[in-house]
Amino acid sequence: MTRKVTWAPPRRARRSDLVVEEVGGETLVYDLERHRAHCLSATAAWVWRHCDGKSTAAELARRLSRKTGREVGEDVVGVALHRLARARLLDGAAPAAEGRTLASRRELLRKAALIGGLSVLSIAAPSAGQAATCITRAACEALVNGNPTCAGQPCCDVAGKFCRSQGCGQTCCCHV
Amino acid sequence: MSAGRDVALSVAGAWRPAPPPLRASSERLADLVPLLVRGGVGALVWRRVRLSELTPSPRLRELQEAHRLNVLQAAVQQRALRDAVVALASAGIDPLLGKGWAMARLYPERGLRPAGDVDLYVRPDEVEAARAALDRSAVGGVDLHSGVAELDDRRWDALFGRSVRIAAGEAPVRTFAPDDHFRLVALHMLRHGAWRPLWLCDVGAALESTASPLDWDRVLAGDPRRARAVGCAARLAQELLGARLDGAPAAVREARLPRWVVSTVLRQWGDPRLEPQSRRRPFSADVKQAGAMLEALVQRWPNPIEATLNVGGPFNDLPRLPFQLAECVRRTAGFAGRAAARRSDGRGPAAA
Repeated sequence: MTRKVTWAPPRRARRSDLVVEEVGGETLVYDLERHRAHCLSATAAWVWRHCDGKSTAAELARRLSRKTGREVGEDVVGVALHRLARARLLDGAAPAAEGRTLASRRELLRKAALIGGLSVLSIAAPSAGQAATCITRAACEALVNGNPTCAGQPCCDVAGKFCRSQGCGQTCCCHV
Repeated sequence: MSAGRDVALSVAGAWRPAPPPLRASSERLADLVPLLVRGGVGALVWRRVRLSELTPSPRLRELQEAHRLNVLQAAVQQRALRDAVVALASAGIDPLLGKGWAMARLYPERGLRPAGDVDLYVRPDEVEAARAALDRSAVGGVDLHSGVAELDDRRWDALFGRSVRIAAGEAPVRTFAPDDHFRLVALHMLRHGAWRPLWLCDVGAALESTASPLDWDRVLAGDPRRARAVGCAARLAQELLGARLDGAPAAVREARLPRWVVSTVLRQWGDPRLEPQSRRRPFSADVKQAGAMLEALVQRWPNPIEATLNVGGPFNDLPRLPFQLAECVRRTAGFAGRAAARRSDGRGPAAA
């Protein structure tokens, strides 16, 4: 199967409100704004780091080819850019498709796998469910404001929110 | 073999730099994944899978996911910790860091131990000022404790005096001395009925830590019943997870571990329907419907470990029913007291 794609103008990698960690050859990114976590493969991470707002997909592909010693097509980098944009890791909107012929998806992924894969894997946001001492929203809202347990316990069923007294009226509430 | 026993085998010694080889099959481990992740030991078992010859199935990859999340969660919390320490310092308050974040230092790699929040302890007379300082700075993810409930047989000044300064990312922060901290995490685990395998791994990691060796005289000082409970936690880590008790006194090494302790823990670790106390609906939500109330009461029947600790009972071979009944009475009295206070204030129902 083929489809036509053209890569959008160069984008800059988003830097604000992100927490980035390297572990075991993977780049893990936590989006503090959207409370989403992403795991970037080596190639996707390289492309992301080199999104300077000036380099086009073709230029990035040339540089990546030099780095890996393998020929990397513009289409491979383009897909990585698309995935990064979809994960909101680039400033601006996702690159739109137009013009250029793209090799079959399988062929492209095969080529990408040779240089470390293209995945921008979204992983479930660090859920408060992992916390030992989280509290359900109902339980939080049943607490009187000022209750000592209403001081920032994670809310189990509301990711990224905590059982708080501030701005919640007479009872506590799950709040960012 | 029971699922609880299999969970125990999968995490036995998992905190060590070189954990023992994993003997479970890929299929059996895959069945345990939900229990392992819920128990907070997904990343620890993932590391053992990585070090073994097992081929990770998609199901086992969920353990890797747990590891990734732990790494990110720790990085996010590091910011919260830094901001909290700065906010509290601006109010002249020097907190003590405890439990998850402080325990994670004892594990050999990043991200092996999840921490749901940052536990900071302040002097009871400073808690209001501390809460106000955190609110002013809009710092989230901090569980602020007024004093140290598990160590209330020790003076705050003594705990603070023995505390040590550690680097938690950019923020140097004080944490409990190893022996105080061991007593704290052991009693915290028992207070919650030891339902999480992670907590027993913490006990194992603290027992075997060479960087933070335990002064057992200090671990066992204070209320003798609590000291025996702490010894029981150490023996439990030895019995279920193979933790080494080399430096422990004979009174701990040779202490008899009541059978009901082991069976209670294994039953919880292997029960996929277990709902920990903190995640239950408030009792007040069920109190008006007879059916729901009965179910809520059954769900809240205290497990023998938490009942024994909460009513100050001994960890011996006597039946647990009296302690469980006493714990029910204690909780009911607390619930009734809160409900009465709310009614007199003209507010809604109390949480239990």
